[in-house]
Amino acid sequence: MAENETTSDEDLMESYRDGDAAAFDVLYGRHKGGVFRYLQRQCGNRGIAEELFQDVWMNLIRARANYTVQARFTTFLYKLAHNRLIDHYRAQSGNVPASFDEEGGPALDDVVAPRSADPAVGADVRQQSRRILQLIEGLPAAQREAFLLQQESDMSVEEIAQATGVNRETAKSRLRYALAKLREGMQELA
Amino acid sequence: MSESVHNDTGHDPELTAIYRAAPADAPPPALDAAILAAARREVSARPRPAGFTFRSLRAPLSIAAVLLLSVSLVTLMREEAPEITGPPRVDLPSAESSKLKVDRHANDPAESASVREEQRPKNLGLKPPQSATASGLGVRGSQFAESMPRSNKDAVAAKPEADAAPPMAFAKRREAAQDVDELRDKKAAVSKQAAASVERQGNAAEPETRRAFSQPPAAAAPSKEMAAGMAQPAAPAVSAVVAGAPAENKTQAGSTGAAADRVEPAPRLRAQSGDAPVRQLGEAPSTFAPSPPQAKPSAPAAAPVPALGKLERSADLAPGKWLEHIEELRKQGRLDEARVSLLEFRKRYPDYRLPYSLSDLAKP
Repeated sequence: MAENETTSDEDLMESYRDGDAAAFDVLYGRHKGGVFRYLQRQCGNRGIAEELFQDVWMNLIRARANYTVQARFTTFLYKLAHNRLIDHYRAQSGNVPASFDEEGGPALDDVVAPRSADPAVGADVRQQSRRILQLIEGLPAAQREAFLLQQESDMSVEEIAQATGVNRETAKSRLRYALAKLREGMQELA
Repeated sequence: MSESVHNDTGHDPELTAIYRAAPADAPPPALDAAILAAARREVSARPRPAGFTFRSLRAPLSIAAVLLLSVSLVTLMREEAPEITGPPRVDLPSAESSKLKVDRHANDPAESASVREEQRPKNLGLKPPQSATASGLGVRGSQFAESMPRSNKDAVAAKPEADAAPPMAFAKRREAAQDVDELRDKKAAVSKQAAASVERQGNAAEPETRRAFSQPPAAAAPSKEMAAGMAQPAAPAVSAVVAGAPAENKTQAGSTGAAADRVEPAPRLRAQSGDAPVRQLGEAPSTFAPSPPQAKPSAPAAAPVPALGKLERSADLAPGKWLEHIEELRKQGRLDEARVSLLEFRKRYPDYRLPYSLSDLAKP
């Protein structure tokens, strides 16, 4: 099968399941960066991220035989990554971060609203990027995960909920808090 | 508050732009190569998806398992079918239980008989005869038992003749057996009478009788009878004596023949008893009509022979019936026969508890 840019992730994964190794190459090329960044920014350590990254892809390779299209491939892939990350949390500190157990957070009315002005005004883009990475690192793990999943894989709220194993409202709440905090942090930078 | 924050997608284009402007970290190329190599190895090592073997064989294995189970069940049911449909298979009744039941019903013959019939199939648990070994070919159970080894005789003697037959057939066969028993009784009585008459006429016919009995058995026994399987050389002598009785005894002998005509051809016996002189009997054995096995008692031994015949026949009875027979003998004053029969009974059933009424007979 000749894989190209228009072939969907699901078709590629089915091709790989049926023995097409080249399909996996295409899939890997599409998602390796997002998964790696998701893992690195969640665990905060590149070495650990590389280890987790390899485990995630190896799990995908092993699970190829039972793969059936039930959702978007990215949902399936990031669910593997999320599970591996939870395992890492448990192995490291014995339990997952508390934010994963919270249904939500404070009322959204208390969250600082984003400024209406252009965030790039008054600061260069590189500085803003470093700032946002600092802000992301400071987010609770669950909110950070929701934000990273949205940014790296273009997941909807429902898909984020599905990948992280929570209901839609919880995923939506986490995402909103994450965005609000990031905007607040960017306002301070400005 | 910004509209973008409140929409359902949760996207904030401004933050997305800033995030994507950040340096894009990527896995090292070595890690990429390792993962891609692992993916290729996995495909080449297992061209078919894992679990293919089990999934593809699931249906055949299930069918094979169901078939195996079915065959096993059918085989098992066939093996157990006779035990299910037939009478319950239990061990032969112990002497104790038999004693208890017989004692309980010993005073009431009818009740004891019904109890015995009730117990027969259950206690013996013998299967109904598949062939006509004991009934279908007209062979009595006692005759069948006689042809068996001694070890089996007791069991066969204890076994009712139609223990597992249907109730109607069993009743009919029992009636037939009773008829034959009555016939035997009559024949035995006739033989006794004939023997008595011979003794009474012994002096008158002594020369002829002695001549008849002085013949060696091989010479006395007619060749036809021997060829017909008559193993009793004295049997023709009995007929000879009966036939050689004087005229006043001919009537009695005739009645003997009349009584026996149910068993043997009556005209021939009458012809012999009426026409053949005693002299000719010993000289011309070929004129003898073959006497049936039932008419085998010889004249000199006529007195004990009926008793022995009764003993043999009693041995065919069930223990309770046998004891009733002994009781009847005792009531009729035939104490010797009763004692002999009781002795035989004790030999056959040493553990069988005797009723109190027969205890005096058992004493030496």
